[in-house]
Amino acid sequence: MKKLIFLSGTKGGTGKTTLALNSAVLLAYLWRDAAHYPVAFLDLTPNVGTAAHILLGDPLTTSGRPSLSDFAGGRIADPLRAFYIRRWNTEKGAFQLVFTYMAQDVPLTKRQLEYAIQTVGSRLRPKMIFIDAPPLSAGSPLAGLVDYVVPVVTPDVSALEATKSYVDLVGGRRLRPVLNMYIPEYSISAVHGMPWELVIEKTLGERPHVIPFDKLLQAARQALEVEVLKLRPGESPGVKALVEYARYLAATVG
Amino acid sequence: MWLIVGVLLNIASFALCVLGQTLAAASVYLVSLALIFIGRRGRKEKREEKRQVETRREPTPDEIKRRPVSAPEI
Repeated sequence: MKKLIFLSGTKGGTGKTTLALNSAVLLAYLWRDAAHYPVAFLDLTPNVGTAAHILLGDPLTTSGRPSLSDFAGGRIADPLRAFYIRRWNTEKGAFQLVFTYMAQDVPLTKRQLEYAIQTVGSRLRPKMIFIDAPPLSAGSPLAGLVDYVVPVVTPDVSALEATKSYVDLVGGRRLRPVLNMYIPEYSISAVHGMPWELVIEKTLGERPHVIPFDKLLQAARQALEVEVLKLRPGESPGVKALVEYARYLAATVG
Repeated sequence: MWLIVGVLLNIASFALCVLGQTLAAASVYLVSLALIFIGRRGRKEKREEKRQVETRREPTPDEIKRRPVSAPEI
């Protein structure tokens, strides 16, 4: 079982959730015959994160149901009670994703998170756990808990600097960075005077995987849908790039 | 463009007819008919192209919501 996080340091709105959720769904589909619960998804954003909203379908379904914040607050002893299954039926067969979320803003200690991950790992035996966390601070409980970290940046200097400062904080092997929301017409960084791809390569040590800005991804997000399940790579360059990155993840960490 | 020229020639052919130039009027009339035909066909093609462009517009969030789930192409 491998643990992976998409990270942008203290910077929000870089597309971490889009990347994490779509990659998790794509790998859950790809490995649907390899394990009963191939992928587990932890949405650690307090007050029900966007990924949890999408997976739950209806925000009202959270009321009265245990979530990871109940485990953090000591209201439930078994963290597995806070996990749910989202199942999809497609023309090529069904597949499922196990997920959990934080219904309230309750601080989750490193020990609790470690225990929750261990429990999921030993009882559900997923091939991979995706962790979608809100922008990190220095005292993050995730430090030292993940195996892989994917730096996610947008073409702006603040995103790059925030990611650069925090990328070593959580530890784990650094995977190919992602340059999200890239607009080819604005390929040069005015601050650095060179193409964004080169700036990121110089800063993070590896040429990034580029995900172009795509209005269709925004439309699917407004609809609270998983982009790769509703849009075709042929119609959406963003989905095409997401699928390519999931293939890279499957080849590298699978 | 062809349609306008065709209509003008058509009017001219009637004018020639009134002036007694029946042979010339007949030939101008035939040319005008051909131009009107070409012009109308061009207009129809343009309209169809416009309709195709309209149907190729990006789906709205509501339309995406109503789409069925399809197997991802991975």
